[in-house]
Amino acid sequence: MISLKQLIKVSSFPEEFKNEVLGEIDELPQEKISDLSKTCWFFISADYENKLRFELQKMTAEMTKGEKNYTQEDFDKVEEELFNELTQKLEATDTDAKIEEVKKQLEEHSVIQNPVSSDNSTDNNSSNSN
Amino acid sequence: MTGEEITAAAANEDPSGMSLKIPPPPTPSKENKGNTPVETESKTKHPNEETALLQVERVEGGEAKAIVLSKKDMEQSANRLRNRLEAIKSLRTDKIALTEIEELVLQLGPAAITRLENGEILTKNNQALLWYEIHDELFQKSLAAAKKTQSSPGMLEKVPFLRRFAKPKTEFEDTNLSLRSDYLEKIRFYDFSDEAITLDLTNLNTLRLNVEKALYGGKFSNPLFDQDIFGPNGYPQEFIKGTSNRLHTEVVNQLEKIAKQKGIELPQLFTRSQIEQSRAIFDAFQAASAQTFYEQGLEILRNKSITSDSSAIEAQAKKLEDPPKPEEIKPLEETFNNVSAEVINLEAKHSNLVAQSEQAEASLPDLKATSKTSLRLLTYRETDLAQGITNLKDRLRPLSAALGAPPVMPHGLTAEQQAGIITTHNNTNSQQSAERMLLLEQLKIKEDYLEKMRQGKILAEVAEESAEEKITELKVALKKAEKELQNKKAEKDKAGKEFEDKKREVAEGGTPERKEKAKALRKWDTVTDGQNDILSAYYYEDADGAFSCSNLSRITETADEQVEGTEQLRELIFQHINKGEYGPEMARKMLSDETIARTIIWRYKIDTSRPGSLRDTYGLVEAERQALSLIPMRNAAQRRAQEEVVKTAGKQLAKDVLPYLKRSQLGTGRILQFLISEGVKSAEKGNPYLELPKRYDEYESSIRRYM
Repeated sequence: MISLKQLIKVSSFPEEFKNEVLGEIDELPQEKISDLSKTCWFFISADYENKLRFELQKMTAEMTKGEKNYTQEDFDKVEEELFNELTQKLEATDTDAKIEEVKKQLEEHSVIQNPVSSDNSTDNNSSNSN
Repeated sequence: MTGEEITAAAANEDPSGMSLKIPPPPTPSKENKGNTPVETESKTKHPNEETALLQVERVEGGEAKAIVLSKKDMEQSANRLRNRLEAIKSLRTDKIALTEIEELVLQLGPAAITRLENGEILTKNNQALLWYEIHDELFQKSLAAAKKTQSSPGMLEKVPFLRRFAKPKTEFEDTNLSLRSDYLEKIRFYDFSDEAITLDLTNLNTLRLNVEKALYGGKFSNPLFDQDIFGPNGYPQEFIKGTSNRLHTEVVNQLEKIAKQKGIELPQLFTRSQIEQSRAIFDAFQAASAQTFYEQGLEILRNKSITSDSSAIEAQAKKLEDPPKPEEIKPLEETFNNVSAEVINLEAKHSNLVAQSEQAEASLPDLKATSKTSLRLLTYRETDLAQGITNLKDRLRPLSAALGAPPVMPHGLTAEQQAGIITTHNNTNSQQSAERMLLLEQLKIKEDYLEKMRQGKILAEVAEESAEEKITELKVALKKAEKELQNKKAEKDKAGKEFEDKKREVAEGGTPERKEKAKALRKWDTVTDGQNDILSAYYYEDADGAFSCSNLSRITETADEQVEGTEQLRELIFQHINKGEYGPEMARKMLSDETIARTIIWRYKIDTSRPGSLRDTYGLVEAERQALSLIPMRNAAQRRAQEEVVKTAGKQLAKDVLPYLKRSQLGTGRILQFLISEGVKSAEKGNPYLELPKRYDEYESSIRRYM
């Protein structure tokens, strides 16, 4: 399982926040670790989807203008490269199980496919924490 | 025959010819990826034709399927394309710049219309053009009519086996944005009646659904493509309006910022080139997700639940409700007497300091005069002595030189004559030596005296300075004693009022104020229990309604002259969880406008010392509060009048800072939590009417916990 430590390092949070979490990580209750991990996955997934969407839109626009011609393979390659980049950052390339976990988490925390989910995590947070 | 029947017949290869089969886009093979053969009307390929085809291929992918469009849909599509083509030609005649889609319709439209009208097999160019045109028109018209067109599944959608018979229903949702475009101006869309617009949008959306189903199959529902890549002009329809979804709301905010930076309105951003739109969406999404998830993370990390000591609150409430007993008077009387005695002591101390200070000040002029005279005399003597010393030294110098010099002996003197000279010389020497000794003694006396004069001068100066320092010290001590006395007198007044009130309560067997206070104490306990509901209502249930940040920040006044924002905030905290128990008057006492304003000032670290209206209002609140503290408790009517003045100043302060609540949903959420937490703490101590200290730094650790 990919740890919160790893997720925090990869997420684009401000450094100050990262240090705060990493400093307290050993004392955090399981509930908070789980909530924070969820938020990280939403963040990572949003970032991944946004980058992918932009790249695909850019390619589509280039095609619409007649400037370039891409194939199905080119589109797939963009996705593959982004995914590989992410798994490397998460240090999740060593086992198939970890790669599968990244895929699963990206799908589960997709903010595009399930836009309400990103808010649900907060909902849970406030319920838990209060 | 209905559209569905035609489609169904076509799927079964109905030979009637009333349905049309369109060959699916070929799936690119490994050998010819990027060079997929394209079926076009002519051998000359336009780059845009190829583009449209490849996009369709990408989405379609997989196994080739027959694409079927009903005759009705084909007719309607042909009509729409024809009308659009005419409008585009007219725009071109008017020399109005065309959009990318309009250029495509102009170039590829005639061929597609011919095929649609003749019921011929559509090429992939035709399909793609049709898809783009329908989406573009739907998008423009939806935005122009300020309506978001959406499709909800029919009721059969939820039933397995019957799902295939389900018909999506077109629904509208009102949005805030509206778009004007040259095309819509040309067809005078803005003059359409509401009914005509609704009918047009419904037909258009139904056609869109049918065409999409035919082109991509019913299973195509990838929102990544549906919303963005294939969204007309690349505009993600989800972003048309801010929803209660935090991320989406923030994306819209960021898009608005980007549009503002470009000097345009948000809808205009989506009339820019596709790449510019993509970039804007990318940047907005990056900024929005960074902000939203950071806030979520912080919320998780910092959030602490508020707990209350229910038994302590209950004990305080019970104490207020129980009829007061006569023995309760005694401790209050003792406190009053003790404080009164302290006041007397402090008054004596104060009077003593006043006397000392006055005496010191009164004696200063004399001291200064004496000192001045002494200094003048000493200076005069010093000069005189210095001159005397110089004179003595002048007289000593030749004597010292003469002593020890041999006698002058001219040549040719007799021995007797020489002895006479020596005797005379010796006599002279003795006289000079005696004179020198005398002068040296005088010099020493004068030098000692001069030294004493100088020391005396210093002492005279020091005496003057010391007297001034003493006066300053006395003034500081006096000021301190005055403040101490003032505070003690206020304490005495308070103790006196409590003593008198208690006597009255005992005589009357309790008061309505006590009962109301008890109720208010228990209310805080209920608020703690309901904090989840309060925060959920704020963040989710009613995040777009009464308890939205923009509503909580309203500074307009209600019919009974209350600030709308603070009233709403009190309703959220006190009424939301228990409507029956809510009384606005009591809530205003429990959480005053001033307390809310102070919290906002702390939360946003607003500088109240900067020149401006806020500084003036803040100063006014402080001044009026100070004035209130100076009115003795026994002057009840005067105090009540001054309390109203303080309230009015607090109301103005709230109006000055309430707009800050719009800044961040999370920030305002933290303010709510802080107010609840402090209110509960105050209730545990027996005071349900929350008062915050004036200084932020005195309270910082408590503030940091929630804010």
